[in-house]
Parts: sequence; C-alpha cells; structure tokens
Amino acid sequence: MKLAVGIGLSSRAEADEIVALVTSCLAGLRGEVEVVASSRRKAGNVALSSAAERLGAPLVLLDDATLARQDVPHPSRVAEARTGLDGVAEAAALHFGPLLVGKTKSAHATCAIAEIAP
Amino acid sequence: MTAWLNIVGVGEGGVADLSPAARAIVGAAATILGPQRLLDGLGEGQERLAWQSPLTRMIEQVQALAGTPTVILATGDPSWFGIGVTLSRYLPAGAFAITPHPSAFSLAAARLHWALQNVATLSLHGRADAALQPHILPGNRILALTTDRGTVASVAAMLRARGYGESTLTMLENLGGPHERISSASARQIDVSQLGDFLTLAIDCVAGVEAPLLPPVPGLPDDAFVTDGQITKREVRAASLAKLAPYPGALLWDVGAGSGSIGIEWMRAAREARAIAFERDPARASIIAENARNLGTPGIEIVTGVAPESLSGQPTPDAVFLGGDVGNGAIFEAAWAALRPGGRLVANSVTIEGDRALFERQDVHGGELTRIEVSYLDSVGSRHVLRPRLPVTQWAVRKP
Repeated sequence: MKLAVGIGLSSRAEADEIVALVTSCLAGLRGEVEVVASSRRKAGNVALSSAAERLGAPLVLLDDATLARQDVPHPSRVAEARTGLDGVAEAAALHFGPLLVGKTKSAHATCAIAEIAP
Repeated sequence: MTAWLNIVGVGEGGVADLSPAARAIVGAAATILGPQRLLDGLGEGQERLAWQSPLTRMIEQVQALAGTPTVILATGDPSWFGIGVTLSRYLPAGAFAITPHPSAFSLAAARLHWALQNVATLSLHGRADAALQPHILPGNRILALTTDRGTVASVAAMLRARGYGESTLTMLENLGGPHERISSASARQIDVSQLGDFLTLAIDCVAGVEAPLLPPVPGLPDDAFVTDGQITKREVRAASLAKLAPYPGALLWDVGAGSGSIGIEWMRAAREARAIAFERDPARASIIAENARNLGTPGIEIVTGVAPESLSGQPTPDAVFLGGDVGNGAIFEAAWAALRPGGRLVANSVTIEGDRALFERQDVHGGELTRIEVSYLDSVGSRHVLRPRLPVTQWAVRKP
C-alpha cells in the first residue's frame, strides 16, 4: 500500500515531534510512505523538510487552491482563521487519495494519512 | 577557544580496548555522555549520562555541559555518519575534538579484503532505502549501515526488482566483538530470519542480462520515468543538464517540472545536490514523487501551483531550469532575480513565442543559443525513416 502523509504545523514544531507523530499514526498500517505533503505556505520550513528526509519521502508543498478543493472531515478553526483553509493535514493527504487515518494532533503539529489512489 | 568536549570513538570492546592516549582523554573528563551500553563499561568517579531521545534533547544535554571537561563515547568513527557530524551543526569547531576508532566500513572492508577507496559507503540507518538506487550498477560494491535486518530484506527486494537478484549480500554482524558473525547469500535466495539486528551490509552488485543500466550520468532512458507524456526527452535532457552543470551540494529550481526528470537527474549527478520541482498541475506531484523514489532521490521537494507565485519563499538556487511556459516574462524575471550571482539558467523552447522571448533575453543578457534537432527511428509502411522531433531552442546563460 502506498501512503501519503499530510502534515500541518505551527512555527514551533520541530522535526522530532513531527516524525514521532507520523510514526504513531503509521502504527498498524502496512505500507510505504511515498509522499509527505503540506501547504506551500510552509516553504523553507526546516523542521518540515528534515522530517520528510527522515521519513524517506519527497516533500510536496501544495498550493491553496489545491488544498481548498478537498472536503475535509475535521476542519480546523485555527487554520481556517489564519489561512482561509480547512485543516492542512487532512486536505494535503486527501489530495493523494482516500483517508486512512484522520487528523491526529501533537503539541505543534497535525497529521493525517491517505492511501495513494493508483 | 580550547576544546571542552572530546568525542571518542570506541569499538565493540568498549573503553577497555582504547589506546592509552584515548583512555587518558576519557579519564580526564568530569562527565561522560553516551549510549548506556558503552557507559556500563566505565569505572566509578565520573558522572555518566546516558543519551536521551530525541535528538533535540541530546543537543540540550551537550549544551548544558558547555565549558566543562566532557567526553562523548560513540561507536566507530564519529565523523562518518556519526555524532561528530551532527554536533558540528550545533557547536563551533573549536569547542570539540574527535578521536576516531575504525568505522564499521573499515572493519567490513578489512574482513572482505575490499578496496575501501573503490566502495560506495552509505547509511541506510533510519533513512530511506531509496538512497541505494543510484549505486545499483554492474560490479559496484557498496557498504551500508543498516537499521536492522529489515533493511537487508528491503535491499534484497530492491535488487531483485532492478534485475540484480544474483548480487551477493554479505551480512557482517557485531563487527569487532566476540559475537562477530559473517554470512552471505544472493539477493534472490536470502532469508533474513536467522540474522541479528546489529549488522553492516556489503553488496556486490551483479546485473542480470535484462537489468536496465541507470548510471548517474544524465540522459537516462525516457522509460526509466513514469510520465503522463510531459517529459524532457533523453537527448535534450542530457544536453540541458550538461549546461546546468550539477556539483556537490548545489540547489536547482526545475520550473515547469513535468515528470521531474531534470531535477531527479541533477540530484543523481552530484553528491548532496538538491532540487525543487515547481509544477503547476497538482496531479503531477505524485508522478514526480514516484520517479524520485524509484530513481533514488527521495530528497526532492515538489511545489504545486502557478509560477511565479509558487517560487516565493524558497531558498536561493545555484541553477534554474525553465522547461515550461518559457515565453512567460514574469516567470523568467522572478527566477532570474532569485538566482545567485554566478548561477546558471537554462531555458528550452519549442514554440515561436518561446523562441522570440529567448532571442530577446539573449540580446539583453548574453549567453549561448543552441538549436537541438533530434530524429528517431520510425517506419513508413515497410520502410524505415529517421523522423524529426520538434526542434528545441536552448538558451544557457550565467548570471553576472
């Protein structure tokens, strides 16, 4: 199974926190992480790019229009107020296929996992 | 500044097997940091601190000891995928000294009688196995650090999928210790169930007759890439990368990335080379990602959306490739402004509008204009012909 990991994060998130969150979301899933996806607003975020490097998958930064096209099950008021978008993690994962794991939070990051549609 | 921190490499035998000089360094420390396993072998009288996880916590542990005589114990050579490399990102060079022990690579080469200078050495410890891909070449020898025996299983599967099933895998377990054990099997026949989890992996690559040859030199066959048809063709790709001139650590912006082929070949061509693929069509993000993983460059970054907006906020490139919408002045101006002085820009056009823009830019900025015309074998009825593709106009320029 090919997996896409969607990540939302605040500027205080560190790579360790993101990797730990993703690892816990992946528990019990059999498959390979093929992409790590987030918002283009996170361009240049070192925590995000080093987390993707450690997860061994290309980082995809999606534009607002692409994220807004997704119908997310757990919209975030914070994200919506700040960016005009629903939760980034679920929207970014949903771009690649149906959700397997809905939005899961840690202190400064959110994670959702989708199966990449063939 | 005098060094307050010494990083001392040890082998399987622990501190007891160190040279007198290295042991004196350890003896002079007030505090010793390291994995619990290595600390257990020490005498009393010094403060011993086991590493905490995660990495940020380890860095805090080290920084809290700044200025006091401290030793970090690490296995092997700390400068080779080790703590020495990590700490150099956080501490000034004058703050610490490193005393290496033979690395797992050195010990493995010694056991196998391999010429270490001719061997590819990489770490698959907690990292993507995909990084192995560019090294899978006929007759190539690879030494890899592993996470556990699961790494061996996934490497064997990768070799089989690439047509390298006859390659020999040698597992060197507990190197340098009393429980050292060395075993070999072909990638096709290996069974990892009897292996332990502390091992170095040696790979002697043997290509099957049908195995595709995928060297790091740009110009891979077009069918090495998954594509929806949007790909820079092999000959033009090779000519473009020659002028982009990849080198270690350099960053490429591939603007209008399509299938990602230019950025991926850039990364394969030089050590630590990086690439950002900008692609308008978000549906292509997964195609680019798949190609990057298949071809061993999982570190590529993919940015969707419309340029030039998509270019903002990204780190300064050393080279820029414009592969789509070449006539668009706003994209060119934004990319040219972002390019570092001395960096190269290469733009390929097949349309009159694109050509016109390139001629005008060449007039202003100088650089080389080249016309690339490629014909390929085709047939007309029962006869063969060399059928021309659309000619490509290429502009290559260096920013002053």
